[in-house]
Amino acid sequence: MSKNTVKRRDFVKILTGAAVATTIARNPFSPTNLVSKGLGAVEQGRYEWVMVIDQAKCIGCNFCTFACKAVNDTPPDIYWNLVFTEKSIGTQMIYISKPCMQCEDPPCVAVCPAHATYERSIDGIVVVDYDKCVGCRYCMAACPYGARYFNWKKPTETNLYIPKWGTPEVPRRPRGVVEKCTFCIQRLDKAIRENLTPGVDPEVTPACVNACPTGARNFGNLRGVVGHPKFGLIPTQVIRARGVQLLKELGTLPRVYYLPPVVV
Amino acid sequence: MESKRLPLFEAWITSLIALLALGVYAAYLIFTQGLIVTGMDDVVVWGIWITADLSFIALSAGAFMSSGIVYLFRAEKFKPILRVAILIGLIGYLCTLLTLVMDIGRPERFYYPYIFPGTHSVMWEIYWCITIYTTMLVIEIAPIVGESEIAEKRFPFVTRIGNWLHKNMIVFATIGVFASLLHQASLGALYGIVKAHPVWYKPTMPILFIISAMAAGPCTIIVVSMITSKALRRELVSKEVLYELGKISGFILAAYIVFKAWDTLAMGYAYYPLRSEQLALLSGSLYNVLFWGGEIILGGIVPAIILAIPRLRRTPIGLFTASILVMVGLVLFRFDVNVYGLMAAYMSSFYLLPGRLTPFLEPILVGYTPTWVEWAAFLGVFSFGALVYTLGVKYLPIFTHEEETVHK
Repeated sequence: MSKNTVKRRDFVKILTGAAVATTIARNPFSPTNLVSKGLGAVEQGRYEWVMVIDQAKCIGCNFCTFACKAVNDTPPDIYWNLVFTEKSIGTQMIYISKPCMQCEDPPCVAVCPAHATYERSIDGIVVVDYDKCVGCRYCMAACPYGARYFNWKKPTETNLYIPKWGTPEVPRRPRGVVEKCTFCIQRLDKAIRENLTPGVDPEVTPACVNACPTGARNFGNLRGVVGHPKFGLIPTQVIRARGVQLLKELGTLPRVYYLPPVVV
Repeated sequence: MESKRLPLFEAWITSLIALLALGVYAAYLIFTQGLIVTGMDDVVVWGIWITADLSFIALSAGAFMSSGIVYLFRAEKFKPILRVAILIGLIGYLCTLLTLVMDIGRPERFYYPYIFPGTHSVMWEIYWCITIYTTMLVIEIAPIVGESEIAEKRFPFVTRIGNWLHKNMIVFATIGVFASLLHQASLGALYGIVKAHPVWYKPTMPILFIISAMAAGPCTIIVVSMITSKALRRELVSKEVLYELGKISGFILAAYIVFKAWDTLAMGYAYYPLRSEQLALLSGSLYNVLFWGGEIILGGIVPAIILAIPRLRRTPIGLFTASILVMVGLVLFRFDVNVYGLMAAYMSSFYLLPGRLTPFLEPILVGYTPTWVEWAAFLGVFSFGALVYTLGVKYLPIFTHEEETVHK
């Protein structure tokens, strides 16, 4: 009996110690937690990732959606990127494709009670920590763009987009957490680590941009170069002058710019 | 007579247990298959469960109000309703917690907001307030449990703890009142701060939530104690106290109607981008009936008239009807805000102007139909609450007023 008690007490001690250690190690206020795992402290403000979608070039082929589904291994009913048909100008159709807007002032981050969705301090990309997400779905109600998706069930289906459209680079998300487009952070991390240039080097450019057959989608650093690996660069002055951000009036400061077609 | 009453009680308990079993089966489906078994989707992310949570919390507001009235304002005449108010409050919060555990995607992580605090979130504040207030309710009910026969005979330490807590109850009551005032309003702010939904995004939300909760809280006490009195065939709470309670509720209801009228007129009068279009869309749906017929007329104006006229208020049937109507109006208010606010969605698209495309929002009304699992889980939780209440009244000194002498 006494042996049992000692064991239990030791167990409780170990458990308490582990809990305290975890809390200290994962303290959200500690500066180390704010920097993405695996990356050193890089000076802030060096990266301003933007996605530029030229609607005059978009033909609505949905290749971006398929590549995204393969590389990020999303379940069949979850699309991190979607292409909608908009209007037609004469015979020409206008499409709008919507990834996560990666707001600079994201409403979803402000409402998360568990600090599970946050902005990486290195480049401000909004990501979800799938190990912390409680699944309350407040962020989905708060997102003005409908860019967030909930795993209503355990993803068990085989992904039909593999291997035709790419190979998965991130593990599947478990049931009951929220997920969304990350601008392929695994590739951006590689770019920062190996000093490559997204928008020029295809291996560090988001999958949807690489898959675009017309060069409608472009990616890059607004403080550096923005472009498509195959179709060349877009001058940043053009983006600043002609770029349109969705729901700009809400003050979310999206990192996705649309270049609307000029109709004559 | 006794033999006639017993089968009724057993039938009541049996039906509650049957409903509870149905709820447990629904919970089993939810925990094994995930929230896919519900009618919610990526647009309508919160359904009837969150509506039920909001309603449980608001209808439990009588607990903090009566402990505020009795302990802080020292209005001794309301002492007879204090115990039943606290019991209803505790049950309401327990039901809320039970529903939330089913509603969140990862129930095993329910404590994460405490260890990974998202300090900028309204929901985080609500998490803490609900935790603190539920603890306070447990503390407030401890002396009542300690006074019960079972505790006095078999667990004297419960009685000792209860007595000690009772002596210091003013401290816990004060904490409870403040935690309640905070989160009853914050539950409105939860919606009021969301820019993505123009129907929600307005500063009146927290005000309307707290005032409506304070109007409906006393009504719950009135309805529950009247039903219990009827079932036990005894006058458990004197009619005078209930009439007074109805008067308090009537005053707060009048204030609520004033704020509601201000809010409704302001929304209709001024153009607000997208909100005006969404409201026009909503007024063509069932929302129109629920809002004007349910919230405003049946849940607001009619009970306000009944409670304002002493001749109507001071009859059991008048008081009971008015109280039920106030409760129904509150539940409809929470339902309209939560479910219809999410159903009024929009597509962000581009609008063709000469020369270029500019961003444009197109309001749409999406559908939401709760599945039987959602209803079964809700009924299970509700019957759990009713069962706890029944057993509480049976075994705890809820409706006995001798404690006044003990207190002195």
